[in-house]
Amino acid sequence: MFKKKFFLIFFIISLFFISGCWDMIDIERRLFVVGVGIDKPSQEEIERQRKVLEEPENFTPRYLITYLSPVPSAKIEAGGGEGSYFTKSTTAITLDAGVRQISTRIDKRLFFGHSKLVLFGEDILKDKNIVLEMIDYLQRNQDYNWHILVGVVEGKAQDVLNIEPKGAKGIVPYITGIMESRQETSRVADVTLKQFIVNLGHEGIVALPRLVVAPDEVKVEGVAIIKDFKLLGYLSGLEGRSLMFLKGTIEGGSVVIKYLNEFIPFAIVQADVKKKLKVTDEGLQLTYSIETEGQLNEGIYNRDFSSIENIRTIEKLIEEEIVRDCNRVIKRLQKEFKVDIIYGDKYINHFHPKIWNEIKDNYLEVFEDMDIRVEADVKIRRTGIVK
Amino acid sequence: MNSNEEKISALQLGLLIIVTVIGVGILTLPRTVTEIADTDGWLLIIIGGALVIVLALIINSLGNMFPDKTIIEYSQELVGRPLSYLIGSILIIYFTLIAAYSVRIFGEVLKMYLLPKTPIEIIIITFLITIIYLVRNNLEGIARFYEIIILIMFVPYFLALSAGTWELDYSNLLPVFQLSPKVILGGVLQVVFSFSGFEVLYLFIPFVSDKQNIKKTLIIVISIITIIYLITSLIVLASFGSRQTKALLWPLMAYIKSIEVPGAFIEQLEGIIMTIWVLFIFTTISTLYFSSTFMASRLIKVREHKIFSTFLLPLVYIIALQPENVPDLYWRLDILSIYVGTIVIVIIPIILLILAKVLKKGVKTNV
Amino acid sequence: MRVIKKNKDSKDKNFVPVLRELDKNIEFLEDIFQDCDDIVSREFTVGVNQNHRMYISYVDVMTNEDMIQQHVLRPLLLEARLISPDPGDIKKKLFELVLKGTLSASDIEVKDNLDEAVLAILSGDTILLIDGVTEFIVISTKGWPTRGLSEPPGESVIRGPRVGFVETFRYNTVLLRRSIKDPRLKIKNTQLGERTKTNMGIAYIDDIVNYKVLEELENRLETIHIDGIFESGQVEQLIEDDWLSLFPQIQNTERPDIVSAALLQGKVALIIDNTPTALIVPTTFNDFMQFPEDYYERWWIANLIRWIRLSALIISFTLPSIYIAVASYHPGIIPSNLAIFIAGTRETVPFPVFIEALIMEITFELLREAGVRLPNQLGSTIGIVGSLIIGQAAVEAGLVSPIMVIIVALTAIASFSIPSYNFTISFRILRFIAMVATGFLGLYGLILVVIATLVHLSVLKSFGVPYLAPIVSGRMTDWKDSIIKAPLPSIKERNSYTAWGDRKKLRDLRVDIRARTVDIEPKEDGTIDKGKNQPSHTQNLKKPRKIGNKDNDRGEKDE
Repeated sequence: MFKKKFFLIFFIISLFFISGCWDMIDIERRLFVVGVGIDKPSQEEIERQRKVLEEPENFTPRYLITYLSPVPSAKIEAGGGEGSYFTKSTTAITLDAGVRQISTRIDKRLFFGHSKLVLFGEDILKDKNIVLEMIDYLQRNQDYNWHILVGVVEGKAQDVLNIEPKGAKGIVPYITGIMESRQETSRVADVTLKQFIVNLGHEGIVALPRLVVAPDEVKVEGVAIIKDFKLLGYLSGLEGRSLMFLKGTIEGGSVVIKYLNEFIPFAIVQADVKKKLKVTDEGLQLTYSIETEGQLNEGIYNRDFSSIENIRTIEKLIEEEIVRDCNRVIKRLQKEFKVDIIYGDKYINHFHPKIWNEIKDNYLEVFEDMDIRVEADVKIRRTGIVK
Repeated sequence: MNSNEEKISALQLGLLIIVTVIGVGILTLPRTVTEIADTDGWLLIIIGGALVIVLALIINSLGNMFPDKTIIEYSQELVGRPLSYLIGSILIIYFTLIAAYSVRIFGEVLKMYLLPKTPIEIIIITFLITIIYLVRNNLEGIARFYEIIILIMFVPYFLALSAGTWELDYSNLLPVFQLSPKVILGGVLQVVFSFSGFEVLYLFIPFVSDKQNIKKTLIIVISIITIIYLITSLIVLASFGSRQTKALLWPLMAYIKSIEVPGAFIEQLEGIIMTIWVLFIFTTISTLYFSSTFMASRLIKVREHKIFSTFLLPLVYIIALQPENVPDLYWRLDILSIYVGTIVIVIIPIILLILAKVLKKGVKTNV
Repeated sequence: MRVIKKNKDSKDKNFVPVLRELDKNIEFLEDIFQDCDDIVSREFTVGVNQNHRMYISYVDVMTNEDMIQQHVLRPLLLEARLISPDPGDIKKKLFELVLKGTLSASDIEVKDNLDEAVLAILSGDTILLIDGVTEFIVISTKGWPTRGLSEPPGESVIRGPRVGFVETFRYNTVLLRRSIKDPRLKIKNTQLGERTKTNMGIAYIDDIVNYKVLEELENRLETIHIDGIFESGQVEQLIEDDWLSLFPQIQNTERPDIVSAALLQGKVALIIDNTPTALIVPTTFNDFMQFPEDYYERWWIANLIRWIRLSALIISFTLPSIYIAVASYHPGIIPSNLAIFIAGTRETVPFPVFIEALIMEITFELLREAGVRLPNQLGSTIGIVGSLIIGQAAVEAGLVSPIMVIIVALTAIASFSIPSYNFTISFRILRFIAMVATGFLGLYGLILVVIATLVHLSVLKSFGVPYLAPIVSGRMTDWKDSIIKAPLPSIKERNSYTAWGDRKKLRDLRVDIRARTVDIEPKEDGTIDKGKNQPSHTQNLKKPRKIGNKDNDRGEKDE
């Protein structure tokens, strides 16, 4: 009995020692890729890389992939700061081949479990098949977390990742920090990989945050609109705010109005949107009722905000401003882009399934001509600590 | 026949059913029900759960008519010796196959999420050896193990599920009640299969010390499983919407992948959840494996089941490695549950119950 | 005065009759004790005429020599001369006279088997042989130098009795008897060890104990035929259920209050001579996680401490494995900054994580072992040298990553915070097994070891009680004192898995204290509710009012 047990245990242990540990890669042998940039390679880039890489002649590389990684030892000594990140770029035919190729040029294994950001260059998003490929790769690959952030660069993603921003630990914490500061700016709606994948499933329509390259700086503002798996165009930062009002995702930021020749910013504390569908003779009428609360932080010296009438007037002005902005965005969406990224389809699908079943096959056409109205209800709750 | 040592309580039987039923099926359940019934999947789960309660109670009343007897013995009284051997063999094969394919699914998922380069053979063999370490013991010891493991299983599971609830979009659950009765009838059987595992009741009822409590326990336990299924698939559906849920191979794992833990002390939740999930599969397969060896020892009338548990290992190992890839595996599992599963879960208990009533055999009980 | 006649059974195999001739008896004894120079024997004569020969024998220093002087020799040699009974009678009644009239020692026994005399002498008793009598007297004169009662160093408490068992069997039973003054507390004596003849007492409370456990214990003790027992640990290993198991299945303690509390839970204690450590059966996992202070302190503290102990247990079992798993298999689990930091600190380390962890853990075990063996002053030096100097140097040289040192230190602290030493050892061994498994299969390996451990624990039984009771197969009422600790007033029953018979632990006759103390202030009408103690006829009487009476201030104002 005891002998048998002993042999069994011996067998199990020897099994391991004979065969070894297959997945063991020590942590310092891994390269943590914190940011990935995907671009369309330019011709000279392809030529340059050709010298380094051996690739089948008959295939032209379709991707220029840039990986951003921290330099591990720099991280401890300097506690972060400049020079603690480095990038590696490669051209590749597929994204997976990119990983293989970079592995031949670096002594470590790439690890994507700590990725924080995936950036797409503007050009790469103009090819539908490539977008489809990229989505499938990001979706099928179990390495990537689904809560990493996605953005579109107006220009090249490689350039963004190569920037060393001042006063920040690195470019990736810098960008994700801006994207996540929804409560401050309200110009950017962060989109996670999961939202990206899920939304693209609906007709290939998604709105991604836009990044603009400036020397030594990146600006995250505005929205890139993708329809039918292709980049269609951009909305500006202010339009992005209206978009967030319509989506109901706004959590902060401000609306500036002009009141008696003075500029007064209305700081949004909280906002909500309610939708309502009406079937009229001309077709469908979708009403967005925006309800928002906030406070006035700035006026002009000695301006008295204490009278209720004044407050009412200001509220009215803010409401008009919001409605005007939103209507402008809706017009652009309906006429210029012909995409519904303000969740109208979702609303009809979920709350009016019968109507949805009638229109779902040609919804975008219906959307184009839909009568969309915006109402706003602004409440100023506080006016700061002076009268 | 049953010594005093091998008695378990009705509560222990209930826990055994919970940990046995919840296993491989929960990975795919959100997709299965969404494929059949779209956003009305929850309704399907409730109806399926109710049906399973009925089936479980049928098995229970059979067990009560023949206290001290497992299906091997009482089917002999009802349908004669040759047919009872057939039923016994079907059950043994069914349990063995389900166990083997579950081991394979387990290995594939583990390879996918935790150990991409480790050979699946190693994963399976280490797992099976650990299972044998458990199933060599008697029913009482196994029941005790389940009692302690159930805490370790479900507390982290629900913590993980709830960690993602702050960013769910509950409007994805709409619209409701769009379902036609035809779809329900067609799909409910498939949901019943995701409860498979409760049929081990065939074996274990005679070993329960407080038989009068079984009925109540079964109803409660299967309701609990239904609720757990319900919560899981609703959360997954709310997270992805019906369209994306249908597209995912293992929607539950995808949901866990997308969770961003508030406070960010854990970056990737899936590593931890996979580790917990090992326990879910371990309990499921252990029960099936135990049932299989236990029935075999009953069929050949050997008192000791231990010897079978060692012999079964190579068999399960070989069967588990048979499917060529994951789609093949799921195809085999589907075939198995549609044909054999229907016989085992639905047809056998109903026929045996009718026979028992008609032939007026068995002890009359008021339970 | 206690006189017992027993062991008259002459069919005993080793029966050596006491002969009428004193010389032959002496010859027999001296033959046995040849070359045993520690045995003192003396032959003397008693009586007015010095015509009664007697013989005493005992072990030097092992007996209370004062007592022999005062209560044996002095009465026989001196006081017996003062009385002069009828000389004709004395020959016949000599034995009875000595037994009942002369010896002033209190604990004496009469025996007739010389073989037992040997054992009695070796146990520290004195035997008295009288010429012409076929019986002899065993006078209990046990008394040897013992250390005083002191607090056991391994089980010290902040609040609680500071007394521990000592090496003397009788002192230990006294400690028990002192705390449980109940005739139903039984202490049965047996002996174990073919050569050492170690005394043992099986203590239990008659109407609470689970008789099956008691019978089982006695049966198992009977099967032991070993040459010597020096410590309870030997007995423990001979009677435990599963000797292959890593886990101790019998609790040991030096604290009488732990033993008393266990007895009141229906357990059986085994007290063994020559060792201060007592054994308690049956024992469950739970018992190793508890400490008397849990009961002496308020329940909040007890709960907090128990959870901390449980986490300490989990940490000491799994933390190095989790580190290995995270650092060499699944770095995605930990926060990004931490992962990058660990990778940075490991840049210079020449070993793989798994080997590094093994080396560090083994080094730590070495230090611990060295510290235990050395005297106290040196032991702390080892600690400083080991932890501070070696650790610091290794980290600075880049041989070991600082995280690893933190992990090892945390593991060590965690394993010290569990009250039971032998229980900690099981987890120390398991820790290494878990580390090896994790080294090969990552988190999957770790969870397999955890599963196997849990399987083992749930199958394991201690004297028929499941090791994991009451978490498994117990009643819900037993949970009140497990990993959670309910407030003391709510624990009204003994644990169902150990106690049979009388299950009532606490009869709570208190009225709700809060309700009773509300009315200390006078009521509005000036009466004072004195509660239950107030005689009924005064309840309706108003207190006579006096203006300016402070007690009535509020009443006046309200009017």
